[in-house]
Amino acid sequence: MGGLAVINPKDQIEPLDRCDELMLSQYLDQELNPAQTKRMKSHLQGCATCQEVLSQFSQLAYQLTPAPPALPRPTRASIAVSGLFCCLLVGATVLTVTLPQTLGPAASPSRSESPSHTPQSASNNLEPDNTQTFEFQNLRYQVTTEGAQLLELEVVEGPCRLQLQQPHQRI
Amino acid sequence: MTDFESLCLPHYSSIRRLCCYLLSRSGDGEDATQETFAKALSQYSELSERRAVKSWLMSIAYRHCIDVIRARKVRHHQPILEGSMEGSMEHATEQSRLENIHLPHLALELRDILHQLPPQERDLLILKHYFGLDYQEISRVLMIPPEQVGMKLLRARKLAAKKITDGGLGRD
Repeated sequence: MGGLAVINPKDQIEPLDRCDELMLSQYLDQELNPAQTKRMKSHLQGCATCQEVLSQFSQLAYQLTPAPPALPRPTRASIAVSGLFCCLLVGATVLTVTLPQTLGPAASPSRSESPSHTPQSASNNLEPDNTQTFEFQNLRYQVTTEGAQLLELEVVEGPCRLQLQQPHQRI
Repeated sequence: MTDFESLCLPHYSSIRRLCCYLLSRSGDGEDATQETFAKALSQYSELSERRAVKSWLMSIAYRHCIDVIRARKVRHHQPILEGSMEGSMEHATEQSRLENIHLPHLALELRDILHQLPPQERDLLILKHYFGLDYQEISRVLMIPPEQVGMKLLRARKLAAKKITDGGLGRD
């Protein structure tokens, strides 16, 4: 190759020969055209005075700019509903697990029985050693069980996250 | 939904904030917002650029608020149209203006400094940063030539920066 590189005049950035506060202010407001923006950026790299002024102007701009809209926060009502539902679910699980044992062997279905004789209840939908998700009141819950043990109940999708963990407590 | 509603109603909140800011009292701000939209509806055929609807609405709101202030005989705001901004700071009646806008990052000291700025300088800063208008839009709202907006905004910034420096705010 070895030829002379051709420099496109448009690509050349003519640096500012002096500090220009008006241009700096317009730079902050993104009111400069692309060529002017390049010149100002180039100037800013080597000018501590302009950097200082820009910092002052930016700080003022920051304080006058409204905060971006916040994500919707969970309301007290939604937290209360979630908490109440968690309690109800835990209570129902406790009852279905302990009630047959309390009533005695006649009322407690043995595992050797055929599935057709197993009483239908809410907890029977929870297969041992599994994780199930379901929705209630626009919230998605995830329940993890192991045998008769409720390991985890978690709100996995919704305005808030709740998690109940009972890794060692048998219910 | 009519064409007017679909085009103008999305800006209702901005217009209401501008009116509340200019008129200080939220009740007056609400009334001015309603008046602004009533005027906008009657002048809708005059809207030439649909893209500029926000600044068009804001200019109607701004003019209406100036009329309200004139009618009150309380010079909350120095009208831009009369062009007599120099040396016309009336702090006493300006105190509550900034209370109507919510700026979570605004330090109390800077709020005081803004209160001390001449009305036009403060409005320029608020329109630029709080309402997010560009130079063209600001020129339409304040009815000043677009080429003057940059210089006036720079003047406002330098004035605020000087007060910050003098007050020791910039040294943390």
